[in-house]
Amino acid sequence: MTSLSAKDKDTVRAFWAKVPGKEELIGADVLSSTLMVYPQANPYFSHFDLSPGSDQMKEEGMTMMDGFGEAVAKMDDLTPGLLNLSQLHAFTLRVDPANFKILSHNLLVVLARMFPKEFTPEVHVSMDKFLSHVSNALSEKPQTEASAVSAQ
Amino acid sequence: MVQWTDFERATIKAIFAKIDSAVVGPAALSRCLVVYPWTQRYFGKFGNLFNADAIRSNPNVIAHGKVVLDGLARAVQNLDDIKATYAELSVLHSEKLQVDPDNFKLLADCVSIVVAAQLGKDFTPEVQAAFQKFLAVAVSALGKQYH
Repeated sequence: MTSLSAKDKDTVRAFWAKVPGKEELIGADVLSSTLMVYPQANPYFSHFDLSPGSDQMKEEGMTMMDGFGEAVAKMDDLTPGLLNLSQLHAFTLRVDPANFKILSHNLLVVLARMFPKEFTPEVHVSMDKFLSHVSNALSEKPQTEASAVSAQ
Repeated sequence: MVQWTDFERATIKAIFAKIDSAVVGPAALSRCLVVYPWTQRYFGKFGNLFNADAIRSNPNVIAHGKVVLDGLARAVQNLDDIKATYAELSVLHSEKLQVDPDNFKLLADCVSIVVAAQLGKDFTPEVQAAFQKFLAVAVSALGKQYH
């Protein structure tokens, strides 16, 4: 399925190895940036307490980062690996896939801020490719019996 | 006309006072050429762009990166009339260079990332919002003469 080369995958895994322990910080910052820089994303989070540093922001940030971590672990077969997340985003959360690009960009901005030396152009291109694949997997709109029934 | 808050004006000017266009420009342009390789099509005369190292050390890329950032700095000096400031540049990019305007956004994203890396925790969401708004206005002004 993937056009990620072995080198891309190694690069992503090696870079992502810096994340453990910092997920809450990174996740919260990614969410704050997304909400502030791209107001069109706000309606998806309107049921949250959006104040910076709120518990809900931190929790939601963690949830997202866990999702990205799952994607890194399942990099060799993203579409089946992320099936549940794809269904969640398509049918429950009903997120316009354009927002996946926005979130990806803000993740890269936060990673660049936190790891300026390590986030070289070479790491950036592999991460960018990987996140495109994640976004595609999330945009799959997988048909399930449940969604077929609810569409009637 | 674009409305800027006092915070946005101050933030954008402060960033440009802090960064060195001879550093940020080449870093952003070379990053763009690596991360979005199709953009290399516009730099056919620049010589060796074969890999990230070659791009990074290419003297034409380095020189042109500074030109691009200096161009953005001119927009900062004319925040209330970026459209007029960029009218000629827009014609140049559309008619002579024939750059697909979608690519302006890609370069702008690389500028954001390079500035984020430099400013670290000072690149707060509020600062990012102001800076990216400025870049979006610059990108839009560059695309104005395409019709």
